[in-house]
Amino acid sequence: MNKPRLIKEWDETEAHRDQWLPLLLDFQDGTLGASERANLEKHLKECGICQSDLDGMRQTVTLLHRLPEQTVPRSFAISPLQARRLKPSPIYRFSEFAAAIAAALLIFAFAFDLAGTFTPAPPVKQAVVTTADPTATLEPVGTLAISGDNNTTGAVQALGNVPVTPQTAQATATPTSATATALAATQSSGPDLRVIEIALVIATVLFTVFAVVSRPRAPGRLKI
Amino acid sequence: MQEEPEDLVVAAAQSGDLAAFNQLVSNHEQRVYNLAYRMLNDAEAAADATQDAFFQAYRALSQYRGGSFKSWLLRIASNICYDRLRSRNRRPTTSLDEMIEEAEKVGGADLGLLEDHQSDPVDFATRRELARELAQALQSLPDEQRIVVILSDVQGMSYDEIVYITGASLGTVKSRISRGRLKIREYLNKSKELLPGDLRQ
Repeated sequence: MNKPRLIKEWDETEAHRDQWLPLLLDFQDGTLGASERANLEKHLKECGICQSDLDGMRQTVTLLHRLPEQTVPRSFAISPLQARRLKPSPIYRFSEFAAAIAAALLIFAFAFDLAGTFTPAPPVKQAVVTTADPTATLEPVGTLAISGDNNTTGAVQALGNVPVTPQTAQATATPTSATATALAATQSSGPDLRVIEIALVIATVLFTVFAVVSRPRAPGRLKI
Repeated sequence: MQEEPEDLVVAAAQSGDLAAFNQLVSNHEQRVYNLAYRMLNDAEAAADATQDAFFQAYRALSQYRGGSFKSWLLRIASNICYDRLRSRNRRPTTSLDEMIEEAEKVGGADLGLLEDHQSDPVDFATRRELARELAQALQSLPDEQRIVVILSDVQGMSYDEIVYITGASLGTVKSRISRGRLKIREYLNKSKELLPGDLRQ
């Protein structure tokens, strides 16, 4: 029977403190406004808990202020050797970014893989440019990089509206034909993409390993 | 008045002047060591934490963006103290007896405590006992209360500085200070006869 009553009293005291302690602290600091101060002073005359708490806080501050400062047992100055070891090298700084780069590469590789970029596409033929006049302007056809594929007969690269002079037309089109016919080769270049994919994976692994090996050490574990 | 030259010293340290950094170490080592000493309750651990605080400050110097250098340093030091206390709690290698013994040692180091302003000769043993009690009372506080009480009532720092150092809100800091003060009072009330005359009621 006694215990619940004590707990109830304790709860009531704590609830009372929650309400009044902030004001007591401001009162002790001398930062309370005039009207709040008058209210608190009135309350203090009636409330034993708050009066006792205010006295207690004042006592504690007086005691703690009198605690003497400890003198340092030694100098904590850093020696030139320690400074050299602590100085972050460029590699150390780069390591902060290595993890981010590795993550970005991994996302790229994954996104390309999902988009099917690394899957060889079926061969597609495109006849792109046909013009009778060698001095005419070639239609912009984007970049047609034509490698040594079986279906390729030549290489034409037209970027934007490039006026084609007879010389350049001869250089780029079939020499015997007056008609400049550019044949697009198939887009299938599976082996090249495979190389890029492997390079991406290797780069991701390398950056990850670098990030792990050269990671900054946890604070507090530094011993010199 | 004192801040302007320190800003220049900090700038020199940031540009790689080790002597300038060591000037800052010399200016603040006492305060950093005292914070660690009161937090960790162990002179050796406090020295170790202080050294680590200056190592970390040296490494992170480029990240310092003005403001109070003292507060920036104490923020680093308080984080280190928290780390040490956490790892100590995870691996409690010290027994209760050892902790009490350590608190007594700390109390013993505070023999200058409570020198009576009225030149009343205070008994040496009583002062020693009170110093021990006060050290133990501080240790009885939860870490987050202890640090704000040390910063506020032992080191005399402002609320704004304590807010910056601990990362807690102003309301939280003030609440921890008042609760901490009350707990110390309650702890010391058990041995009221130790209190100096002007504080005994």
